[in-house]
Amino acid sequence: MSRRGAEPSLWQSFKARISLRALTQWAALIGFMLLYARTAYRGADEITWPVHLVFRLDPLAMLTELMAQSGVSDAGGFLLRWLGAFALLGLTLGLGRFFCGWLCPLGTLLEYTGPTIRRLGKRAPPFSRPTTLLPVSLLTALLTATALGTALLGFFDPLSILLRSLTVAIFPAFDYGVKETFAAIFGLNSAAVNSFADPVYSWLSEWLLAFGRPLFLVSGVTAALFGALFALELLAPRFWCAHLCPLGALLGIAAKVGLTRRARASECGKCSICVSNCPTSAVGEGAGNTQAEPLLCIQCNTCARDCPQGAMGIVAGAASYKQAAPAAPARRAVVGSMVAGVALAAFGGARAGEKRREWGFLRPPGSVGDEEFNRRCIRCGACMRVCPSTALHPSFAEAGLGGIWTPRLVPRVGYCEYHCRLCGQVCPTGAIQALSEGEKEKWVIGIAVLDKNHCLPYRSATGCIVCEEHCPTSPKAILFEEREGIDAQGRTVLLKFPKVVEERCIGCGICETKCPLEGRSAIVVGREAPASEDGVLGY
Amino acid sequence: MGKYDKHTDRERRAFLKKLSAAGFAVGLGGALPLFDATATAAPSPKPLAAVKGSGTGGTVSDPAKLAREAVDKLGSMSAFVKPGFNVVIKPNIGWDRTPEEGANTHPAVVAALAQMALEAGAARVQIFDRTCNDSRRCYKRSGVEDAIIALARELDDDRVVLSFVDDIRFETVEIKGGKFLTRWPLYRPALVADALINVPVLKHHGLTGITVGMKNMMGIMGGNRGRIHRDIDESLVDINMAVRSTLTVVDATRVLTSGGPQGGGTKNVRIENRLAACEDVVTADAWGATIFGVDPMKVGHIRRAHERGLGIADLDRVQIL
Repeated sequence: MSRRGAEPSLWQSFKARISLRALTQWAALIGFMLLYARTAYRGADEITWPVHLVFRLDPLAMLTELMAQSGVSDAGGFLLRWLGAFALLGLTLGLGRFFCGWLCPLGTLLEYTGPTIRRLGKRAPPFSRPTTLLPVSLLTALLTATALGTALLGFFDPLSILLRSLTVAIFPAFDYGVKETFAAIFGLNSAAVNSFADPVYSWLSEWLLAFGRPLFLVSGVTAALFGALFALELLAPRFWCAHLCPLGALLGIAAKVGLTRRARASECGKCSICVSNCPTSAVGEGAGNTQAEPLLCIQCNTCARDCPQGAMGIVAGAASYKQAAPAAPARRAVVGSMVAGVALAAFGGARAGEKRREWGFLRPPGSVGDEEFNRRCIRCGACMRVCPSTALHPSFAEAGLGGIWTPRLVPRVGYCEYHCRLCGQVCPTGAIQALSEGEKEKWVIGIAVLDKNHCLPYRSATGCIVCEEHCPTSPKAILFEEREGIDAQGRTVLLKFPKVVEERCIGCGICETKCPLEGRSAIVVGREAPASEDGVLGY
Repeated sequence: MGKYDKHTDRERRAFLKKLSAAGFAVGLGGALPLFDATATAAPSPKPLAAVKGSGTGGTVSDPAKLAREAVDKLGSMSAFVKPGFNVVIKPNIGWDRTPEEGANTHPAVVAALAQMALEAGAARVQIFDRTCNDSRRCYKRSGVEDAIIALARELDDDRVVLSFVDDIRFETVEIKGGKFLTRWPLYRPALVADALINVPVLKHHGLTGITVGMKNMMGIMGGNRGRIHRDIDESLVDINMAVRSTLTVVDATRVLTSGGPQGGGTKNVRIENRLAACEDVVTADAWGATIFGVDPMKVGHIRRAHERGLGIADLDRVQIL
């Protein structure tokens, strides 16, 4: 066992490492936010440095893609694409769960908001004796279900949770609040006020605010679940990270089979500061239990920093490690969670809701077939973030239980820009394939169908054809026939009646978005492939 | 980087930031004028300057030169823009289409008019459109963004501002005497401009037959604009009565002859190399109709504008320069 003496110089070096950790955490969080800010249309049809690059480090995303396909056809490409994830697993073998303590942006947010949350909650954390069974069981159940075709890893992937919550709930709310505040200020119509407010607003809209007004479906549920992760801080510091996070559990397993341990010298004394100060309760108590549990330890170094003896250090090997919990329950838990995973997958596979999609359920352009889509999609919401017209929204029950948070195109809210092909570029797991210029414009998302009982010229002999005006294909997929109609006063009027040429329609949905009727559109895009099955995979 | 990227992302952002910091102070605050869609007096004919370029073989000749020629025929931009004026230029940049596709005003025409307004001593020249496609895409692919960035850089002049329409800057106004539009959100920066230069592109439109200057004014309207298609003709007269353009410059260098208003491809684009300028938007639109090959009085909104006294569509009464 290596020794860390009590010399102040070493103690100071530990202290320096703590602040180095904080710096690293904030740098990683800021880096994440900068990438997030860049993940938007910026005048070019190719996006550079999108936020989905963080998933290249994420072994859960890699496993999701691996299990989504029957076999990896291009092993070299796969390995190259996920080099970061393999590197992270490899480094974790040597360094433990450093990702969690040093890099994970969600972990950083939880760690630095936790003290305030607990202060506001006015209670001491009651959860002092955790078990490693919970995260490992959850991971096992999710992996099993995912391997059997009901992909659930993305539900709980911390990077996915953060990215989709930011995109769907947090950022739109922030954006809305700021814009409405300034709208009220500008509404005062005071030149003096505006001379101050205007430069501030201009700066904000340039650097922080969204372009347009992003509004998302399922934002309430997403926000509530995101909030729940912070509420868990009331139970224990970084409760989510240590006791639920499947990425943390996976890295923890790697750490456990890995080469190093945090351990204290057995002759260190009896203060047990390391035990009580460990945020994830990883440090065991008692003379016979001198090692920190690598499944839980996030390498925050609090134990070493706080040890008055300087007796806490990193040792090689697992030789003297003693498991706190007996082995049998662990095995039982793992087997039990595998059974749960099988049950989840079977339940998912057997529900009608998993197999049948509503007619109006649309996937983004470039999407792989629907079954494969649910398996591949990591539910990160990067596609929703980058969509310039907020056409992509999280599914709730529409894609089955196994499809929650997978993207769907909701044309009444936003349409697919004819020349835009950003969503396929930011998808980390290939659920949405990148399309080239020319390929995108021909991609059939669905077809538009007119509701003649609702459409103005048909129902009340009133002119309109806004749908025809906006149809982007050339020649247009929406034409009009000019003929006579009878208006409400019984007069004969010459009117233009729209009609859809189905073999030209690509289902971009601009007609449905722009239909000027309130609420329900008189032209609706549905999941049909008019001419052939080739354009629409899996429908 | 796409085909239309002449500037790096960083340059573009730096430029737009500079513009937005300097830009919006003009056009905010203070009372709005009253909006009245009833004609007070019979309009008098205004001269129309029509020019034609020499380009042959289906190529567009210098559109900037045509714009300058036409405006000069009306007595130069100083006739419309006085020193210190807050000028708004309202081109049609409604669609995510290239200049060749004929759906948007030619970028060189927009830049030339901006330059003329600067030369006339404008305090600020603002350019914007409420687009149909994503405005970032439209500004980019139309070439207008690049043209204005190039102009500002060439002249080293930050009085010219290309900005995106921001929904918090709309103001709902009452339009007295409107036949269809009686109350509508309009874009404040356009309403308080000292000079509003309307720069449409002449092209086909499914509903109205053609779209020129009067319909281009829809770009200052907020809200659910599609609703006015129920009575597009009266609505367009209402909005143009309520908000008068100081000068209308019709870009007919390329004419989209079918599949309008957004077209796609160049199959239906006819190279005309023509351009006209006139104070009277109805006269300008009537000229556009004749170039397009239709009788102005057969175009609903032009006929109604003539009848309601917005302007003069009878080109026989107009002096053509």
